Formats: sequence, C-alpha cells, structure tokens
Amino acid sequence: MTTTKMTTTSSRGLPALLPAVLLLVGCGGDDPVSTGPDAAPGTTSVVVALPARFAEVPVPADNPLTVEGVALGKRLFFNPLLSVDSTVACASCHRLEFAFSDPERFSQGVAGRTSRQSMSLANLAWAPSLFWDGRAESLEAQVLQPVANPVEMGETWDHVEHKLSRHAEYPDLFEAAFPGEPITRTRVAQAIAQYERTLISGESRFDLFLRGDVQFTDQELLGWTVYGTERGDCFHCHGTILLTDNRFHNNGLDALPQDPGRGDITDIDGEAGHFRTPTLRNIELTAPYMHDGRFSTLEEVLAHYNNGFHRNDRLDPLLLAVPVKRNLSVDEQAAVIAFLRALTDPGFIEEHAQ
Amino acid sequence: MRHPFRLAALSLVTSLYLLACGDDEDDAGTLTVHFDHQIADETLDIDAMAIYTNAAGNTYTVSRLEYIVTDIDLIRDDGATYHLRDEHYRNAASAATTSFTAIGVPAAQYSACRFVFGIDPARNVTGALPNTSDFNNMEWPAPMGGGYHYMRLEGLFDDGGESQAFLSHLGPSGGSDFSFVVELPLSLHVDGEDSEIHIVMDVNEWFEDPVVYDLAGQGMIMGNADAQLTHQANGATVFTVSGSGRHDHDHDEDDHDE
Repeated sequence: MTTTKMTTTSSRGLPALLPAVLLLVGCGGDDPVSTGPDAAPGTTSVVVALPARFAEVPVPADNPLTVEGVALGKRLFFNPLLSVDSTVACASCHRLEFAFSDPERFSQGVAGRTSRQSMSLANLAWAPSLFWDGRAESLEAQVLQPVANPVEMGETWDHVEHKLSRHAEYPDLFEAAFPGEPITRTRVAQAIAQYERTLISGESRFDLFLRGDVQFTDQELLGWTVYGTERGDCFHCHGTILLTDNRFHNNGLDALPQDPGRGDITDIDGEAGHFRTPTLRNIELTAPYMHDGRFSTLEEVLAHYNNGFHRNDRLDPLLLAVPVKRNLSVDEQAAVIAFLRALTDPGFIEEHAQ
Repeated sequence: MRHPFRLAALSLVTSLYLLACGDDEDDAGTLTVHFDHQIADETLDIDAMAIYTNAAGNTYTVSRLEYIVTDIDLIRDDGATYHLRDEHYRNAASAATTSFTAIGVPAAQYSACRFVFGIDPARNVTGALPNTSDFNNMEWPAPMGGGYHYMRLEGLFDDGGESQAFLSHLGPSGGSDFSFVVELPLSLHVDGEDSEIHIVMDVNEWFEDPVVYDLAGQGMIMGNADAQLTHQANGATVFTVSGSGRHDHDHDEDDHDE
C-alpha cells in the first residue's frame, strides 16, 4: 500500500509534530502525487499522495500546503480557544471517530443547538463550495463562519486574534507557518483550510475492490450493482470516486421544503429545498442523515429513496423519473446498505487520530 | 484602438503572403470556441425555470444540460484539418465551461468546424478523459459498463397536468455507440488576431427532426436504447455555428477607427 497515510501523533507543539508530519512528504511511491503552489521561504511543502483516480488537490495560489501550516491548522481545529467560552472546538461537532461528523441530530454550540446536521469532513479539497447550502466558496471562507456564529462558537474574530497573539505557544506556530506575518483571522482560516485539505479518504474496502485487492461478497456485489445502475440509480448524484457530485439537489424530503437550503443563497426559485450532496464515504459512521438529521439509520435512508420521497415542483428529475417508487426488494435494500458499509475507511480515522 | 481597420487589413495581406510562402507561424491566431444553447429562438435559461414547448407540444423546463464533445477540428478550404482540442465539457449551468480558447491556430481560411458529439467507443472507457470533477461526474459506473455519458439533458414536462421527468441521457449502452460526427460549414478567417465562433445547440431539435419525440409516456430516455437512437438521428440538426471570426463580430470594437 503506497497511498498517503499521515501519522500525526501529537498536537502539543511544533517539535513534537514535525518528525511525524514529515512522513507524509514523498511517501507516494508510484501513486499520483499532488503538489500545490510553492511554499513561502522557511516553510516545508507538503506533497500529498493520492488514492487511485483522485484528481490533483486543488490548492489556492495564496495558501500553499505546508507542513507547518497543516500542523497549526490541526491544532486550531481541535482547540476550543476559538469559541467564546473555550467550550467548543471545530472538532466538538466534527468528531474524528464519526468521520468528522456529529452523532447528535443538531450540534451543541455555546448558545444552543445548530439548525442543520454537522457534515462529515473528507475530500473537501475537491468541493467547490461548503456547507449544506454551499454558501462558502472555499474552505478558507467556510472557517470564518462558525467562529462568529452566535449559536456555534459565539466568538468575535478580533478576540480570537487577541487570544492567539498572547498565547504561550501560538505566536511561534504562526511564525513557523506564515513567516513574518501577523496573526489574523485570515491566517487562522488558511491554516485550518490547509489541515482540512489533508483529510483525504480513499482507502475503503470499495477502493480495494476496485483495485482488485479484495473480493466483494455476493451481497456487496449486488449492492454495487443496484447502486451503480439505473435500478437504484444512486450513482448519478453520488458519483464513483468522491461518492458525491458536490452539487445541489432536492431529494424530496418534503412536499413543501421546510428549509429553503440552496434557494436562500442563490435566490433561484427552482433551487428551493436543494442541498449539497454529501459524500457517501464513511457514511456508516456519520448518522444521523440528511441536512436535518431526520433519519437515524441507513435503513431509513434507503426506505426514503425507495418509496418514501415526496413529489414537489423542484424535485430532482432523476428521482421523479423512477415513477415515484423504486420498489427495491428487501434483499436489494440490504445489499445496498452492505455496499455502503464497504465505503468506510478505517485508516482515515486512524491516521488522523490525535 | 485594438483592431484598427488598416492594421487588420495589413495583417490580412501579411497573413496571405505568409500562407503563400508556407510560413504562417508568425501570424497564427487565437480562436475562442463558445458553446451556446437555445430553444427555438430563446436563449436557454436554466435558472429561471423557463417553460418551453417542443414539436410534439410538450411544455417543459430544463434543469440540467451537460455534455461532452471530442476531437474538435477546423477544416480548411483545401480539406486539410487543424486539431483544436481533444475534448470539451460543457455545463449550461457553469459559466466556466462556456468556451475554450485555442492558441496558435494557423492563419488560413477555414470552411468548416467538425467535432464528435460524444466519445468514440474505443476511447469511452473509465479514466480516459481528463481527471476533473466535471468529467468524473459524467462517468458510468462499472455495473453500467463504464465510460462516460455524452449528455445529460434533464427536466420536467407537463404530462396531462402532472409534472413528469424526462432524462435525455446519451452514452454507451449495451455495446451500442450513440456518438456522431457534427460538421458545420462556416467562413472563418484566422490571422494574427483573436477570432471566435459560437456553436449553438437548439435543444428542441433533439425532439423534432426527423423524428418528433413525444415526451409523454416515454420520458425515461435514460436506459432506453430506442430513444437514444432517435436522439442520435435527430442530432444532425441540433447544432449550428455562428460567428465567422473577428470580421463578423465585435463590430463595435472594429468600427471605432473607421
């Protein structure tokens, strides 16, 4: 196995981090590797080895991936200092063991609960927009929002900058990541975005099956067939590599959308009740499901797509064309779920464990 | 001031001279190829959920139009071809895919543009197209035989008072090949300046000529080989080309100094 497995062991400071993080540089073997724009002098470029068929990691020209930036971003991601009362970190609602999602239907912030389900974080480097409604067009822009959201982290960015600047360790970490630059919200966002770009999941049992390294069971094979043909027609939205098209769809959760979703962002009437397709990678770990977490189990999700979705004017035509009922048999539904469980990437969880 | 007429004329003379002398490299031009969409005479507007009517009388909206063209060439008067690009992905909802620009197009008079709508079967295998999300989202999974959709044209139509979906998906199907060659006559002079052409798809033509396709009762074009054959046959009249290089467009710019 030659794909990237990043082994960070500690976030207690730069000296402890560096040797571990450096392992990810140049361990790609014959696999496609991804290099971004050149790093600033004094920093160390990260070369990301990619799972088979993954495209090069898109990296903004002004935020190259560096060992120091990723390490800083990881530490910030897990640090509740970014919230007003130091109780909520990014990682509080994006919990590693749940593939960076939250088993709670709505996440607990500093002042109540969020109104949408926490999205899992994997392969976001390739997502052209973030959040269920896509309102952030880059990871850097996304990071700025939860900190200042009164429910989620309830903090001001001025105060975050102040706290980090007088912290015992962060000034050195920022200096290492962004030499000669002051500590600003932009740098915080860039560092966390760098870390998130390294959250790459592409070593599931499904990937091993595609490479011919393992055999699927008969049930998994049936599930893949239902998933990957018009029988189940899962693949049109949930692709074959990232397992998401990173686009927006109305999947018939309600006859009248209770949450306008994408429509609120674009003001396009036809996009009311549209939400970003979540990746199905690690889906077994990321319950509950849908933007409002209404389904607790994969069985409920299958029941929805099989016979349960509602007709509405903005329903994705792909769903409507299934004459409203798929009528998958019990065995077919169980097979699809067996296939979905083959999308879990245990190494992804291990490699990012603190 | 960018294209004063006299300079343009001079450059034309120069390019003809160079062409005659067999050395046209210095006057190679830049050509931008646009892919536009209309229905009858209206510009397709996906965001507005505009309602259109096809030849069979179906009223319909379009919620998705994306497709792949390959082997895009220009053909010279003397029959010689110049290869512009291996493939282009177009999504009517994505401004970034509106056009591509070819640089170093040899100065010449071109009389046609030719491309394959879809992908040659020999090349239509998973992983053969560039590794971008756009192309990857057009893939057919292995259980479908692999390869890529050529086109996804999707929307809703009024089926006796109830919304029903139509899914015009073209692609490899059961070993059949539904790609086809499109050759569009044009009059394009390329010299050292920028030129552009517009390849226009009339969506209604997929449902009209020579076979009138009634969406009612057969909206599920996806997975229906007969429907794909109809679309392939109707494809011959789907495209037109407009704009014949800079002498036929951007008049405002060209006219300033006249």
